[in-house]
Amino acid sequence: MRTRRGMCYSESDLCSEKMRAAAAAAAAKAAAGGVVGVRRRRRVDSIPGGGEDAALLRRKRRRCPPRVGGGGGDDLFDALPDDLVLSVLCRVAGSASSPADLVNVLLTCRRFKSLGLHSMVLSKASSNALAVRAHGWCDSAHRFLKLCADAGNVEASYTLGMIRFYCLQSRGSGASLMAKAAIGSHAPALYSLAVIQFNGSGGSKNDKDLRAGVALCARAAFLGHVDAMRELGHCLQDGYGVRQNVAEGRRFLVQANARELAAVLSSPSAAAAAASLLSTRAWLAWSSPHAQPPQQQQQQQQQNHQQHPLRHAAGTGCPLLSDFGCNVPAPEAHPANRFMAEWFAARGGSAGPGLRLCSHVGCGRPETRKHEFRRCSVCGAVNYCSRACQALDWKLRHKAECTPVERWVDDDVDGDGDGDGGEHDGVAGLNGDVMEES
Amino acid sequence: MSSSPPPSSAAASPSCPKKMIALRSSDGETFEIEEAAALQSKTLENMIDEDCAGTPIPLPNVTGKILAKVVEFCSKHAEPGVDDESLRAWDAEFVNVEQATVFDYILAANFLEIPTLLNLTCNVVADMIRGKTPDEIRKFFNIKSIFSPEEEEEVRRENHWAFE
Repeated sequence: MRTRRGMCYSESDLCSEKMRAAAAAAAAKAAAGGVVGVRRRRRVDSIPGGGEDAALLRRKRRRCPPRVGGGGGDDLFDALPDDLVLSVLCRVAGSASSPADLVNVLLTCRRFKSLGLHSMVLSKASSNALAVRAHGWCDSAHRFLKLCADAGNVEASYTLGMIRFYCLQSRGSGASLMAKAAIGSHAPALYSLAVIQFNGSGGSKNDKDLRAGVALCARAAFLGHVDAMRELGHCLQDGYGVRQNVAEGRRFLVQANARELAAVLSSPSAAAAAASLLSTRAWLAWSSPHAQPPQQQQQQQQQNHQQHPLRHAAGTGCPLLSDFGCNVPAPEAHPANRFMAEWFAARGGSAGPGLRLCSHVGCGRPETRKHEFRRCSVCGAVNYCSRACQALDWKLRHKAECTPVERWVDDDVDGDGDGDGGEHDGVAGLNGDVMEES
Repeated sequence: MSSSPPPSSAAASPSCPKKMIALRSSDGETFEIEEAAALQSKTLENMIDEDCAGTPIPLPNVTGKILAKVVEFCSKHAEPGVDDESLRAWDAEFVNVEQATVFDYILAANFLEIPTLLNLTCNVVADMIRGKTPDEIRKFFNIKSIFSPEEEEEVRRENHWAFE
């Protein structure tokens, strides 16, 4: 049976209890290769209890610094044992809306700092708590993310993996961090690894592994990742890395659109934005209700109502079946993607000589070698890391600006125009949904 | 109580009168709680299973004032047919008390192992913490042990990236 800590501690017991707890926490932290190399001049917390040292601690405690914040109340947290404070801090970390929320806790007092850096708390940090900004990047931020990743936080593993792989160009450790997250069933990590496999990122084009990419995509898709579903759908339709199955591919594309729409409608802020989008756009393709006699009008309205959320500019049948689905507002970018976009924007919009960025702004991925990404076959002006980015960007932005241009033969082609890029070559669908290897 | 029927380990059937468990707080007050409500607490559940629940159970770590509220909480949560919405509203009202009381609830919920109450109260305190600056947190909770100036400087420097 677990020992209970009651509330009836005398003052001196409480002091030494707290000191022991803080010492234990500090010792554990030091043993784990503590992150913050704080050299405390008054080494009150780091002496394990025992004999003369404990007596010394008690004397120091009584000579405490003057009370701040008014002599009235007692320190409420004094009454709570460490495991309950950890419980509270875990919840703070899990619901933090920015790194500042978590760090403010660490800055409050010694006890919060040592408990706040406990692996249990860090493992629960939400993705917002780990949303480092590119302009704030420094060794300390790197250490913090590493600490969280080591504590078992899959979001931290993924975010740090992406940063190391793409921004710091440390391919091996970045990929292994992402793999760690992927093993923890983190859907974005699985998808990112799939993109790396499809493109052979970090290596040559011979390092592409389409079947591995499809397998990773499939796992991410089954976890509900919309981009992965789209990617998988296209792979199935084209027989890319997997045996061709057009019907199955179609199914995945429809499912991706449906899921995307559902996500938008279920989130309150996004739903409001979507509702305003839908109400202001003109009715397209279906006949106007006013021109019809009453019972037909009712039928038409029913039909319209059914198709109301599914409107699509092309107007050819149910838009869920179109590759590019419904007009939903742009999904919110993951902090890792936002970091990459900011990072490369600060470095002149490119990852290096001749290396482009994915033209979908919510993605932020850079090429890791020349001509890694695929180009829009219609205009050739934009390029994408994956079919999913291309599909999303088409619907959000590119459709409006894509115009066919006269293109001369490329002299810097990657060299496998009729290899796996063959089935994409040249044929531009009505919605420009074909990419070719540039 | 010698007049009460021998305790049964199974849950009371609808036709039998509700089985009441007696609890005694640290200051000697006695409270009665229905068995179904008492099962919310793992500690009490263990005692009931081991047939120790015949006499009033002493709870030296919980005062009468807090125990009364805890009994109220458990009874409410054991009520059948309460929808989530109104239960949540009731919970919000329940923790709408001064901070010291919330901390007392946490300790009681921890001692009695009532996961719902522990979750609720810990979340409340987490909400109180989140979004405040360190100074505000210290003032709000009367936290006394602060850093020395050098430590404070060090920690700020280590974590300045979070405020960029």
